[in-house]
Amino acid sequence: MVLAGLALLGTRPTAAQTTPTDNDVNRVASQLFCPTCESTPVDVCPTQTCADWRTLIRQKLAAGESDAAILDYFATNFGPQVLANPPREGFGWLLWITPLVIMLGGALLLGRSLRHLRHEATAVPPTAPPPPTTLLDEATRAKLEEKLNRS
Amino acid sequence: MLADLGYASIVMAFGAAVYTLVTALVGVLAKRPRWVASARNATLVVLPLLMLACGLLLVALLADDYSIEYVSRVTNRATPTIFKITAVWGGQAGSLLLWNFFMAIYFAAVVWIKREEKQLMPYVLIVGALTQSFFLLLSAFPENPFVLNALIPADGRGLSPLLRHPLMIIHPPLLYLGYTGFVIPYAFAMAALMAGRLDDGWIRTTRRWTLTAWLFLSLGLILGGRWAHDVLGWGGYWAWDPVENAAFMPWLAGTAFLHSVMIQEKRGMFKMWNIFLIILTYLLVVYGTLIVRTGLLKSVHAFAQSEIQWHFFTFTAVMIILSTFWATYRAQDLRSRNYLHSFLSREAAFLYNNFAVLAILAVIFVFTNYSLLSELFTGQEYGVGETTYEAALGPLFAILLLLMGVAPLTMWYRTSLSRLGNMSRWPAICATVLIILLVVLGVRPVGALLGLWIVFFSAILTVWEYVRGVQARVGKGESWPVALATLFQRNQRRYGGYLIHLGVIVMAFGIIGTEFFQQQTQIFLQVGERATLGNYVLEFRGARGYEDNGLSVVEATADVYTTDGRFLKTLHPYTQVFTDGQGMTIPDTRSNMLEEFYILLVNWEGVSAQSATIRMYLTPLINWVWMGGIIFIIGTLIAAWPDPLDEKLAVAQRLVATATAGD
Repeated sequence: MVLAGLALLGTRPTAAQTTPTDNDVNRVASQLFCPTCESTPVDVCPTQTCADWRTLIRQKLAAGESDAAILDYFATNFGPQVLANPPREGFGWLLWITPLVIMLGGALLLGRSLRHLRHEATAVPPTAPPPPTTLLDEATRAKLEEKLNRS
Repeated sequence: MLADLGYASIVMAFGAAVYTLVTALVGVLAKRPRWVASARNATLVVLPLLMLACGLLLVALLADDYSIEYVSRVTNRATPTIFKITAVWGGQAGSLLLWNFFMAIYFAAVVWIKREEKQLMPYVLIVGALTQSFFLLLSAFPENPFVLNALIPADGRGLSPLLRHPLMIIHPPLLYLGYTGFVIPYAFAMAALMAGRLDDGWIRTTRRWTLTAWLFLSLGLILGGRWAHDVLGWGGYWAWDPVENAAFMPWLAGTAFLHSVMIQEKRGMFKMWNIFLIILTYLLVVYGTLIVRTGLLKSVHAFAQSEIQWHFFTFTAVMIILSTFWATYRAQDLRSRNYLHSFLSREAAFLYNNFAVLAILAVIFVFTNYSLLSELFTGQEYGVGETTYEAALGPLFAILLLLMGVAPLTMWYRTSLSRLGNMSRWPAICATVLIILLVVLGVRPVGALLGLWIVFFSAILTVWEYVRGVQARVGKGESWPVALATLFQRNQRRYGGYLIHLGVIVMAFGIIGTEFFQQQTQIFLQVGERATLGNYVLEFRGARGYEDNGLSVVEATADVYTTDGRFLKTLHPYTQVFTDGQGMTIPDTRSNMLEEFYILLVNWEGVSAQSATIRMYLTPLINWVWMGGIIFIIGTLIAAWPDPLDEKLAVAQRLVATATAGD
């Protein structure tokens, strides 16, 4: 696993060596999730693990590795769940098309039910319930009528 | 002794719930009103028993009774009294007990207040008791808070540090009040199905109950966001965390329900749809409790080990089967008597709203469960971060916001396109002018500009609704303030509702500001050194360490200036380090309605702390989020406030129902 990760790293082009700033480290760290806390990005996570990861990111940046290479390293060694956003490959694609499918499916359903409701009105004639006329005094009834008409 | 009494009262409450279930069933099946009456009384017994159990748990916490395992787990002697009280919901077993207590309050209240209601109540008792029996079963057996320690420890372990925050006193109980409250409309919907009384009686009866639950859930969500902002130290307020989503999903389903019931009340349409929506809301409440209470999504690997997960799965399955059975059994009676006249009408607009809200809900549901799904299908887990949520949901929220502005312009039955055009022309022009102004001022991302256009447009339209209403009354000789007050009073639901819309629009304004324009930087500073972010300059003046309540605290001092050198404020962000080495970084801020300058002490060096790493966030418009939240809550209160006229209407309906029942 580790070897595979290293092999992967070897194939990546390396940039010139620089001293990474905290902002550089955070830029990469914010795209990773803490391996122990639930959905916490590494740049803000207070655990020791994440502090170590940030140090590791800093070293890798200082060694000239690209952001993508560093993310790959973590995904290969700790599993794809450490990536804050799933890769657009394999099962990850499903996530990206889900919203589209939901929207299209929902729109289709909506359109169908709207047409259905419009054209195929059921044959049952509307039957009005008996009005509560005798049960209320005139003034209250007038107010209720108005209220019902307004809502 | 105390533990025995506490446990006994939980078991007795469980017994009372089961008794209610059985007697109500017999009463309905054998048509014996006295059995139903007995069931009703048994429901009223559950509440005092659970009140006693909660009270005893509280006493045990306050008295440092470490013979009880729960007490020793969530408090210690050093815990301040206020957090000993909040420790009632500081752990799993206590939270479930409180959940049960709140549900018992709702049920006792509904049984008492609606005691004249004879048609639906027997069935409400059945559904309510079934739910109550399940949750009390959890408290009585696998999650009993009164389990004793084999060895009594000298001191407890203490409350999770993140929960030691003033907002944590109020946030979880509000959420539980929201969750449990939705059980009432669900019980009435199921009762309507079982009793075959499918008019909108159940909706009218439970309207205020639904709004109350929704209000508490909204409050819980807003305060939860505020807590995250104040404690979690990442400059934001919402992270699409599964636990947050668990509360947001039933809120969304409830929102769709609150809108679509209006079509049924006015036009007698969508009966089946409304039943479906409330069932969905209820199931999401159960599912949300499952996520939060069993850590389902946190520890996918502990799947088979946690006992109460299977309790939940079984219960959810039973409720899905029961709900589906009754809904299909009554499908014929649920058919609409009326039909849609036009795609441009109030009823169609409510449907578009439902589409947007449910699409948002569906996306969140899939994303929240994505780690579970991917684990199931590929053996590998994938996480879903904020960026993905925002990209997927942004357009849907935009549609929803647009509908919020336009939908109130539509009329029942049909509205002409030219009417809609006439009414929205000027707001659209005004919004466009504002956007052009912003572009001239240098505001750039197209997404943000689009979002802001919708915000301005919908805000103008919503405010215009009030202006129109007030103008009509002023025309009749009322003064402006009186006219506005009468407007709210005469139609609380409508104008309260528009105020809720306005709250959401104001929040959206703040959210666009924080999402698109937040800047951040992190920098290592020596004493006396300065750093700049936006229009702010920060000067680090040093840090000091001290002990507070057994916690070691490191507090930094830093001055904030404007770039032209004007002093603004001295900030004191700090970090608490707990005995287990975990820390909590508490920010300090300088903010106004335009933006918030937020700093965190990330790290420091040396005992004298001559240098430190500071993280700074500059978040525009964030205070609009909180202000929108306040408007939202006021709107909900207005919409839900009891109206004496409704009471009279309810009495009249009941009399009619009784009079026509014998036909």
